Amino acid sequence: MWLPVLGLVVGVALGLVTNVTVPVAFSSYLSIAILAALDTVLGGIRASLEKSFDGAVFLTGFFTNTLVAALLAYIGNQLGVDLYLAAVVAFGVRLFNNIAAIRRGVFLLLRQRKLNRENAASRAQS
Amino acid sequence: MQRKSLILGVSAISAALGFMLTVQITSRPSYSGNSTSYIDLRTQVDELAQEHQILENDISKANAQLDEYQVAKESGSSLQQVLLNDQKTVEQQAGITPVSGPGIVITIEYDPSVPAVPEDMALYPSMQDQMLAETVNTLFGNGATAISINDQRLVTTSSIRLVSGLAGIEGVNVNKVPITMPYEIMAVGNVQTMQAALTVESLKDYYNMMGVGFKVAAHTEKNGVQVAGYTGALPGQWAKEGNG
Repeated sequence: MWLPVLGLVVGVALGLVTNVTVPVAFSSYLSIAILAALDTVLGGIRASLEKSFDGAVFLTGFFTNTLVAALLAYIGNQLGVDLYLAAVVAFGVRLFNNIAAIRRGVFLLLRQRKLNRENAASRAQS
Repeated sequence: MQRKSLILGVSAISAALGFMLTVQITSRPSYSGNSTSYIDLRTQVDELAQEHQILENDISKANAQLDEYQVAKESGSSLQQVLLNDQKTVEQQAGITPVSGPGIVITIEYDPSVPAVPEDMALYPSMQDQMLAETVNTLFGNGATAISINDQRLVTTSSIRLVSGLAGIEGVNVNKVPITMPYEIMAVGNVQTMQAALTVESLKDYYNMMGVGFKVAAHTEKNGVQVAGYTGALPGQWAKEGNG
């Protein structure tokens, strides 16, 4: 469970140590890619809570969404259309949906655990 | 086994996400104000473009005004040239500038060889100013355009005065400057007319009667006679116009 968190810390440390800088022109593409990646990660957490997590879908979704989002922003920039806004809206909505679903899932999980504990306690008393 | 690979995959993706986030945050230029989005930047670009247009218009107006000033300057310089010419003419007429031209030079000095009358000789010291005035008036009235007595240019405010010292010695002041014999009158103008007038007035005879020689030399060449410019005080030099 702590390994993904450790991975996140390692990634942050790697970014700080390598001191890689992205040109300002590509900064917006990376922002969209991060948004897509966040959406994928939150979608993965939601799926794991709903017991429907698929590793292959998760991995391919991460890379595909990230690349497609950046590509969409690039194409929009070339066409002079703010296509990245579409990606921001789409991923933003999905992000909030996933967060809401995760919140509900966590509540359900906590209530289920509490209920299980109460049942176990009542069984022990009887 | 499958769960282990899954955790590793998620961990790798978390690391990638952390890396991307860090790169993005560290790469982003820091703004002094609030966070600036792409839309804000575009708005700022639009505003700057409008401001640029306004400044372009200002430059056009300033250029047009500059052209007007250039035209005004050119006309002003021609006006200045006319005024300078006027000033030069006025200075010439006022006698401030030296002039040269054909004219005569009269030398007045005591001469024992002239047929003098003793009674008249005694009169000359007290009459020399009148004699000089008579001479220059005759010249001015007969073609002289510029006259000087011992390099003192005669202008409209000039004076020829007889002054007496404590010892009773009488002298002449021209332009309030004392002059002494021999007197040299230089006159630029029509040589023939001036000579004729001097003859008609018999000035030479009068001078000779007083024991004074009166020699007239004509210089008909182009710059035969050079008359100095007036160097004394001008009328408005000390006295200024009052406020009342």
